Amino acid sequence: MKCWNCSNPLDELLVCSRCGMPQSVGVLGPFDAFGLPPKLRWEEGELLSAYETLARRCHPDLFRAHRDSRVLTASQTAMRALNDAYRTVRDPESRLRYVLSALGHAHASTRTVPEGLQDSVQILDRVLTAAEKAQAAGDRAAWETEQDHLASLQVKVENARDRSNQMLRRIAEEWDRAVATAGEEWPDMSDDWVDQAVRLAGERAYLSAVETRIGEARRKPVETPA
Amino acid sequence: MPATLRSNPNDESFVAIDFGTRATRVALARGANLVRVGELLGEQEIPAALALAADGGMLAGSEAFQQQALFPRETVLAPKLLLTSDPAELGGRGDFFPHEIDADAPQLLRLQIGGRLRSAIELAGLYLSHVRRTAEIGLERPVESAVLTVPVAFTPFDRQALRLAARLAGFRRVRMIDETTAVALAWIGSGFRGRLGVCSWGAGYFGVSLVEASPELVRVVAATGDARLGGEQIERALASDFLARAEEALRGTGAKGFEHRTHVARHLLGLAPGALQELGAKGKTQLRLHLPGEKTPFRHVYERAALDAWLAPALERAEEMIAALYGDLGLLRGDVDGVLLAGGMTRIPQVRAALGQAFGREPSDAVDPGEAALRGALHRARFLDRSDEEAPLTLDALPLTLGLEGQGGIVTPLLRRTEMLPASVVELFTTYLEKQTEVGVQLFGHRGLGWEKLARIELAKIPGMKEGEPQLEIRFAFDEDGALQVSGQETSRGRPLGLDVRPERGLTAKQLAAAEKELPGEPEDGFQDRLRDELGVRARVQLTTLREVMRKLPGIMTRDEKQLIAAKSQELVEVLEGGDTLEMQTCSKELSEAAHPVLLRVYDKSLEALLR
Repeated sequence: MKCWNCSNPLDELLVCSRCGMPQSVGVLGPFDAFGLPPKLRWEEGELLSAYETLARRCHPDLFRAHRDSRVLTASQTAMRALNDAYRTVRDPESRLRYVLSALGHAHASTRTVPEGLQDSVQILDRVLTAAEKAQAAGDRAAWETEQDHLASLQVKVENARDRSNQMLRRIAEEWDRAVATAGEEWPDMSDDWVDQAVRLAGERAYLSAVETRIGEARRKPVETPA
Repeated sequence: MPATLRSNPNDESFVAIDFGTRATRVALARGANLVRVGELLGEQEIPAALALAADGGMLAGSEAFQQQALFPRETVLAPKLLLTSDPAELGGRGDFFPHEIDADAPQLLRLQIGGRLRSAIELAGLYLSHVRRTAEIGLERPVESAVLTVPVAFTPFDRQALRLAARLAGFRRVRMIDETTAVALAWIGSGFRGRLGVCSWGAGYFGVSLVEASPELVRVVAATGDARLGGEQIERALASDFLARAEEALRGTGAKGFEHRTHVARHLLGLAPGALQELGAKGKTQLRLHLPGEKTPFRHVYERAALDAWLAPALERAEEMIAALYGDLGLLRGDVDGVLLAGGMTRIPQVRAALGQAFGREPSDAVDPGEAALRGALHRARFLDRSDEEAPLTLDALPLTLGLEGQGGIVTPLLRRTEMLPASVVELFTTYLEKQTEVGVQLFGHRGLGWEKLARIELAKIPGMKEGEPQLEIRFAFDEDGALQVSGQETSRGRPLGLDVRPERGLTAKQLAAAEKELPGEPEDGFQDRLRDELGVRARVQLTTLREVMRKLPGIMTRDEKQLIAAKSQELVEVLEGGDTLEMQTCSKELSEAAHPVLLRVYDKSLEALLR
């Protein structure tokens, strides 16, 4: 691919390293946008700082005063691609989802109840529904009675989250080793790894949803005047 | 100062506009300095008022504001607020909103004013047009590029409406900046590195954000706001409480004036902001209303407890929103290196204390609550002009979490408010009936306290296929200003779809596209001719207004004033015939100065005079 402005072959996809012009790239893999390998484990802040460095080279506000209107349009496309790429890989969970969907498992994030929580699903749903109802009705007393249950259930969810984090570390380690040895290609993974990873992604989708719901159910209801 | 401006005409540079609920300020960068357009013209700010007469005449800014009590039905205040107001709620305000609302358009606020129906977008556009032309007169150059402040509370569709209003006003390049971001930019000095909590709370809107700053980059981590928490609500509570007390006390005494309830209401709304300030600062304030036929004015003293009661629900909501913001980011209360407050509401000590508590840190006292947003907008303007190579780039976050309603009414987030702008996402839909040609999708927004309906997307012209076969690909794209565009196609056959977006308030996507086609083109006359025309129009409005004041309020001027105004008017009339723009401007300014004390009195006395 060549730069639309100076025709120099591009060694980066979003911005030309020779003339500094942003590039109107189409669909591209999120790791390609950064020019980084598709690893699952990154140091805290490592991808953010790669993102910020690129943002400071292709953000539209840098090109708004440019005489050639194509430059502004290109920067808008490039910045949107950069933001979309960063969103896809910004946390371990979204990276796992992306890698699985790139491997052909687009529905890996279908919510799956984690093993340690299967016995508590029904009571959890009942307590959450009761608390939500009390919230909607502005009934503070009814809401209070559910809070003790909620707190103990929250501990169970937190434990499940801890187990899930350990699992994610194992899955990620294995993937990153394979990426390192596969060179430019995407690695071939065992069926066992894929099954575990798909299950993990589904469990994490469940956990996020239930954590959000618990968080909202713990908010004090606004009392409606009698 | 005008001479130095003329000697360096840079027609392309961005001006900064702090588009406020009550007033608007415009400034321009001159090197590292701030040049306030108002100062060039003798006033600090442009009051947010617009008066439209049935004969097509229009007054805007201070002239409209000063005469509002004379013409309450023709004078619209706070055009910005209209962009986010609910027509039904406005209709319920009675004499506190004395305009006829078009009942046929529940999504789009339209008022019957100045002889015809005008939408909120049109009214905001007319006001912004006045602002733009005022800037042109002050700077003596075309003003077509602007950085415009916007409340975080503006939804993606409100932002579209605001941009259309600015385009209608003749701005060709518009870049917005969230008020909270502007406040942060104004404060961040060289070398600051850390996380800031920012709150901007004015007459119209509440907004908060968390911002990560370094000398190279400022990044909005997340922001949220509420369009129903503005100080104006509390002012209205005070004014209507007082009006009710006055009516109760004066019932049966034969006091005249309540047949002019609209005028009384407008008068009280004018007194409310000052009264609230005093109540906050001193813990006590007295309001009085002197109606004709009454020997003594009706008075009532308000104590701090009344203010506390009005503030309590707003403060509770504000605290919840700040807690939700921290929670969303996995932060704890107090996880900030500084807290900045701006906007009129944050001058009230109770509000300041409550916000400091909610953020978990003492607010900085180095922020000028009335100035910060303008200065921050100017930072962005200089950045866009590339006139400040050292300035940090600012990355903005989405104004809200965008969600889609799926099966069973469950809303799933598409893009979260912690994402950065511009951003886009593609979603796939399909049909569930054979040969179904239309599908509807409900969009929601989340600001930390539950999902709210945003818009309905209607897909049509789906090719007739078996259920589940069509691949309907819908793209949601936020631009840098947080406005949202929705587009779609059927990918299995590559056909374009019929698509419309119907927001809860504002224009549908089709109406918006039609309105954009109608936008004014390049003006044909040169700038000097346009400047001359504009000055002529303003001078004639000025002369007519003064004649009208003399007719309606014959006793309002002393003999000296009358003579001076007559002489200055005569000079202006002569200059209008054959003078140059500089002379026109000078004469008009002199007439303004001569009339100023009188017009101030019009504001204060018009009610009394009218009822006499």
